[in-house]
Amino acid sequence: MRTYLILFFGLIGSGLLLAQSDCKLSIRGHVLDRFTGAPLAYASVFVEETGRGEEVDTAGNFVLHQLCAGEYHLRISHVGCHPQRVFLLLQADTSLQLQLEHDEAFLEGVVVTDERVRQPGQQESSLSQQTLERAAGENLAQITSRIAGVSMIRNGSGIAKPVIHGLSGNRIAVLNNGLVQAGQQWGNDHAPEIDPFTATKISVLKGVDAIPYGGNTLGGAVLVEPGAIPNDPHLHGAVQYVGQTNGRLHTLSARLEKTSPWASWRLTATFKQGGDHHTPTYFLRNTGIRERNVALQIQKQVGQAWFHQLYYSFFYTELGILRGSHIGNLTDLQGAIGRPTPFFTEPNFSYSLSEPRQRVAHHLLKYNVKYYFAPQQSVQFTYGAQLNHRQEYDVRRADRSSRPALDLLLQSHFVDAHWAMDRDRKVYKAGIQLRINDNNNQPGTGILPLIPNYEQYQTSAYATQQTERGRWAYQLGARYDFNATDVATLSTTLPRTPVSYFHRFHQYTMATGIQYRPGKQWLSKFNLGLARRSPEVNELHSLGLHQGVSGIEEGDPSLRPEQSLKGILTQTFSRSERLMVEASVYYQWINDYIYLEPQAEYRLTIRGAFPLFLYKQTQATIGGIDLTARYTPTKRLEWLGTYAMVRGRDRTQQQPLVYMPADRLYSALTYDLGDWGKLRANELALSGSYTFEQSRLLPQQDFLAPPPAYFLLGFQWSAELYRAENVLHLHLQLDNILNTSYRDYLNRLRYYADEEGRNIKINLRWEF
Amino acid sequence: MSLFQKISFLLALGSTLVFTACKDDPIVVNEEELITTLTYTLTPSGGGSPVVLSFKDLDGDGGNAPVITGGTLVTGLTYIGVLNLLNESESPVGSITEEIEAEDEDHQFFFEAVGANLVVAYADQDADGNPVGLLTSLTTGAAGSGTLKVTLRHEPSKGASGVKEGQITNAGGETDIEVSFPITIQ
Repeated sequence: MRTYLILFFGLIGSGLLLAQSDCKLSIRGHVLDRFTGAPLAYASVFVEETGRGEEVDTAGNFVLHQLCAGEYHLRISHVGCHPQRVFLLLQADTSLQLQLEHDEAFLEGVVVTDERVRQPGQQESSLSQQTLERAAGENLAQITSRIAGVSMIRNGSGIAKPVIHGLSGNRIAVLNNGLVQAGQQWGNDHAPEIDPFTATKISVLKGVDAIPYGGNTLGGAVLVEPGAIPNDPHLHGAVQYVGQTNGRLHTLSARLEKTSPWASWRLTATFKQGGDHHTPTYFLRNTGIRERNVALQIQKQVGQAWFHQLYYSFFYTELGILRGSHIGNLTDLQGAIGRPTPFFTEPNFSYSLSEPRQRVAHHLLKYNVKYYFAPQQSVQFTYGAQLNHRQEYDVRRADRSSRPALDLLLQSHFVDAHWAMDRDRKVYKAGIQLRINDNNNQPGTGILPLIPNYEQYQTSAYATQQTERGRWAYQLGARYDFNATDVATLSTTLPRTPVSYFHRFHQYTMATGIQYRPGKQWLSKFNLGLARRSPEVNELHSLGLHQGVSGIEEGDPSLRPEQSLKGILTQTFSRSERLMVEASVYYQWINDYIYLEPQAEYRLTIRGAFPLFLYKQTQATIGGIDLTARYTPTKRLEWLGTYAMVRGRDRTQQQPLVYMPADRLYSALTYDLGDWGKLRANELALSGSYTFEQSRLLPQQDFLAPPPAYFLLGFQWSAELYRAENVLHLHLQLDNILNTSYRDYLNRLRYYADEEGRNIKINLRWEF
Repeated sequence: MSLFQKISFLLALGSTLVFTACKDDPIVVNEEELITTLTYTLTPSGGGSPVVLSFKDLDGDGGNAPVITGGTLVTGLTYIGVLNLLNESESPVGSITEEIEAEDEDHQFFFEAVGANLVVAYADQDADGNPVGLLTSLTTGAAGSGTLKVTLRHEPSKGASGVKEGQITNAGGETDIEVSFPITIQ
């Protein structure tokens, strides 16, 4: 059941009724739905220390009697939902107000870390901790594609990037704990270097909410947040193991957290190892993955007003790319298309990784201090540093395979000064930022680099305002970036001599949002955004063969910034906790939309003919619809359905835009079976997803027509086992039960191989 | 000047002043793996002046277009064919032929004539007894004209059906070279 609740917990008041020495204290609580403000019935509260529990009545109230003074851990859960734990030092009769929040598209205000403000008019969709826990073992893009309107573009099993409303790559900012991920964003064969296990929340922001996070977010921003460390003096944590049959992939993660007198800290670590994945009929050779991640978060509150946070994470991955997708030229591509199995397919499974493969190490360090200089006003300073080392290995002659064919070292520094005020249902934010990226090709590859060396400086200023007035809420935001990029490349003709370029761009974003709530059942939102995005280095200066796409790509240093105008209209209807429907319609005009245009003539090289792609600009429009509906006919049964549709059009050439996601329909039925002896909160879910054929593409726009529509069936069972103060979460998942052979339009490897076949996943999570 | 313009102007000015240092020149890459030149020297088996087919692209994939030189062969004659591959972007010029000889199990050349009446047979072997194609014998038939395509595959499956006989269909692997020469037989 997706209706899981993130708990936003506020101690409304603790009134001392009587000073009692014996065990007669009580805890009174009121559980509310954060979205509707209505009492949330059917939740249950469990006191770990006493082993006693209490049901919440239909008015959302509960009372726990006969408690001794001392420390307690309360576990609050809702039908089929992940329990949340609250620590409480009980000294007197206490009353609590607990706000629980629904998952996915029905959110409007999820509070980020310690900001205690409800933010009106937000365009945010987020995934709950429960969804994240059950999705363990998947990568970031796979996880975010659960949100309506978000899909993914892939390069085989291991490499995936999120696509928001048809836009991806340079047009989306991925934020790892508040820092824009400084990786090699430009390639669709480069996945974001983030361990989803470090996150307690993953969300997608659009419109005004995305403004503080970057000026190039024409599509939106993906936020991966570790969340605040609970104020609990005991050592808590979780150990999670995920095993899946497809790829024989094992993931082991651990999290420890504690609030010590000196500071609160959290340590997470993930270890992942997988081998060749398989389609219903054959192994996908060289599709294994190895990942080692670690993250440390330290929080310290000094006095009432100072909050310090230090965060360090290290991400290391090594992954293979399907051997049969490594081809030499157009003739090879035509030979590979239409084969029953890809070249180099082996009859046996293997964990070994060989060329072509990638190795990426990513360090991220962040220090953040927040100071409340008045009760509702704060200033915040952030420094972030990132180091990204990407090495890609190719099949080469004369023992050169062990030398990287692409070796890039990217250093990034980020400074942000931010002011926020929250007063009388108004929220103001403003900030200035400086970002420096320095990217260098490491010598020794023996290959002319596809991306030149560059230094990029971006200075930015932004301000947003949110106001709530009765049934109305307004949002307004603006951002300006000055972008200076110095590029040092080599000439295309012999003798090779250094060539320099200096680019200066002005980039701006302006957005506004209006929200109207005529009653408890209806909520309307409208967002309008105007943005100008500077071309990135790959668009300006790519030069040479992009092995991943088997094409020669040439950038154009004279590209102009893209300008976009986008409107999103969202209508939500909810009725008595039982029915919720949300519909979003959006339309975006992009002038000077930058894209890779295949040229009619092939480029002749000694390896034969290659398709030539040039970065060009055109006038484009993208429009679409996202629908989400949830119906809970009885206490135990829930139905969830989503539908997403995107249409992209090149208005100049009167043809469709390439790489637009196909329409997708998803439906899931969840049944809560209650307790089976010691197995509590048993839940069964059956899901089906239908992806339509991408029929809006002209034959000359691709080497191969988009694949036909496909249907995938999934099943899930989850339960909880309690033992003293510990819980073991059990989760069993079956993907592609029918073992359907299919290909996906947004997977580049669709030219060569089928998608993965049936997969059985076991997920064990022990919380203590 | 509006406030917004003033702010942007100041920011732009500030950034330009602070960041005047430009990026250091990149190191010129030694493209040691590049194949710039292929020559196919055809010497009549009974002696005579050789015909040299050549493909040259000194600056690699981009830049200037390659220079292709075809040839004229005599009807009903057998030639001894020798392939030579060079990297002329390096100094001294690198021999790719030697690299291929060292890894001959992982390489094979294929010869396909379109329109021209000629047959190419392998005259060399790798350590496993499979053909490589650096050394060949070419026999011409009746007069005519067409093209001869020379393809080098890296990591082909030499055991696949027809590959040892010079048929490329089932060879697999990656194409390292694929060049076509105009041929006239008279």
